[in-house]
Amino acid sequence: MILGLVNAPQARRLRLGVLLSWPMLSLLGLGGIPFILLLRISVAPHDPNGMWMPGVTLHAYGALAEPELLGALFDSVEMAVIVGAISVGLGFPLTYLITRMRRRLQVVWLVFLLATLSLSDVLIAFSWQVMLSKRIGLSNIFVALGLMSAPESLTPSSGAVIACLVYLVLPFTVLTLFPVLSRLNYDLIEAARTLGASPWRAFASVVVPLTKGPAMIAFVMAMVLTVGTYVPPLVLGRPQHWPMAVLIGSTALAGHDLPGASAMSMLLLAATVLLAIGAAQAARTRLRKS
Amino acid sequence: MKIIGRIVFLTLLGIFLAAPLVVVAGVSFNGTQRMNFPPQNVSLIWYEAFFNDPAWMSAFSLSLTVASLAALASVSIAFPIAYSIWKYQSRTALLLESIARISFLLPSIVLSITFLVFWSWLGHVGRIEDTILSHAVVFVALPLATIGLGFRSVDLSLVEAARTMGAREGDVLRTVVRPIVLPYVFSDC
Repeated sequence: MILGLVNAPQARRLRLGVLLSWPMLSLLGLGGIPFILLLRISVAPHDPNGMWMPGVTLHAYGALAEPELLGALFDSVEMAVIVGAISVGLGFPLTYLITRMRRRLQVVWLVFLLATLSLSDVLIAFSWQVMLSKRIGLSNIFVALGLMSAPESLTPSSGAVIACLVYLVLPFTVLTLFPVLSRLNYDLIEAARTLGASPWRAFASVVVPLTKGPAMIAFVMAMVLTVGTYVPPLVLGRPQHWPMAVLIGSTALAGHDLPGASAMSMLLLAATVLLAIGAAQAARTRLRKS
Repeated sequence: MKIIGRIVFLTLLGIFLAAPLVVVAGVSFNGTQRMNFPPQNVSLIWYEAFFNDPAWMSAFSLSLTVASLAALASVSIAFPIAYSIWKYQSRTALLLESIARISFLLPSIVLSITFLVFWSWLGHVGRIEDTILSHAVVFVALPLATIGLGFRSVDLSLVEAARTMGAREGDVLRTVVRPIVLPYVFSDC
């Protein structure tokens, strides 16, 4: 009975140590170490016939100032903001309507959304390519409706990339917003209405303050997912508007330039963090005003 | 008026979400090599071709292997964290949880490059274990969220009741906590 001699806090620590050793090992070993390595490689000299060489240089960071790269960074950020805004703009009313449905319909919608969530981005990008193609695509429907004179291919275009990304991101948005909106106390809205508030005013003064935080989380998550996607812009976008993600991929895989790709990753990461902080800040100042 | 607007909105979104699936499924039943929708000469020849081609089949089974092993590994990392948070309110576990969340929130391309650099540094590039472990770690946040939800839905008064009636820690886990949490664990796999 050795365990019997150990006092309570020690036993707790022992148990936690056993429980958490594997999670800690895997998360730090496969999360922390690789990230530190990424930082290290981003300041290593490029080795054309291998991966990188020992030594320290800021060459890869200097190369980031090229107009082509800054343009791609701008494209990434722009795409993220647009997709984030559309996803929350559609996802918020959709989630609201789902929470007010009958139980059974709710389940149907949620299962449907989970089903689209389980598809890989490669498959989704391919189906959008098929749907927007000249032969069988959407343009044929537009021609039938008299909106277009002849069928044409709608890819590559920024619109195609945005449509595909909204498709990818929307289920995440709904699942983030669902818990909050389904727990929303509708008596409060009722009360505001009884006190003479218009529906719009009731929404603005009751629903918005209660859901602003989660809505902002959904928006930031949509932006992060968008910034990181590689396949949809590659398949559906114009090469001159390829975002950072595609350039990072080609630098690492086709160009065999790991220091360059690492430095570009750090830049994209910094931009993403700034975007997230900016969005959180904006939500907070708005909250203080209202 | 309002109801019509609501129905139109939901229908349009429903079409938007269903269209890619319908189109791809439809095209796959074409009898010829051209992309037609609706399909012409409906047949299953492409499915036959798929299941008879060893290269496609091995890629397919590889995908399934990676997916199921990564899911298992992911749950094996997430479960102890969720349990330690629920049972001991452990601060280390909370810290691990936030690390998992952050790694899920990194742009996926940055993660891919990070792992590419890491595995090539180990001289281990291009192995299937790499893919499995990398996926497992990146996606830990998902099972962590659902299993955490499962533990939180365990009514503490049930645990209390079991203890009052003389159940030991192991019995409580087996009889009360397990049936409630297990569905959440499976939903992740």
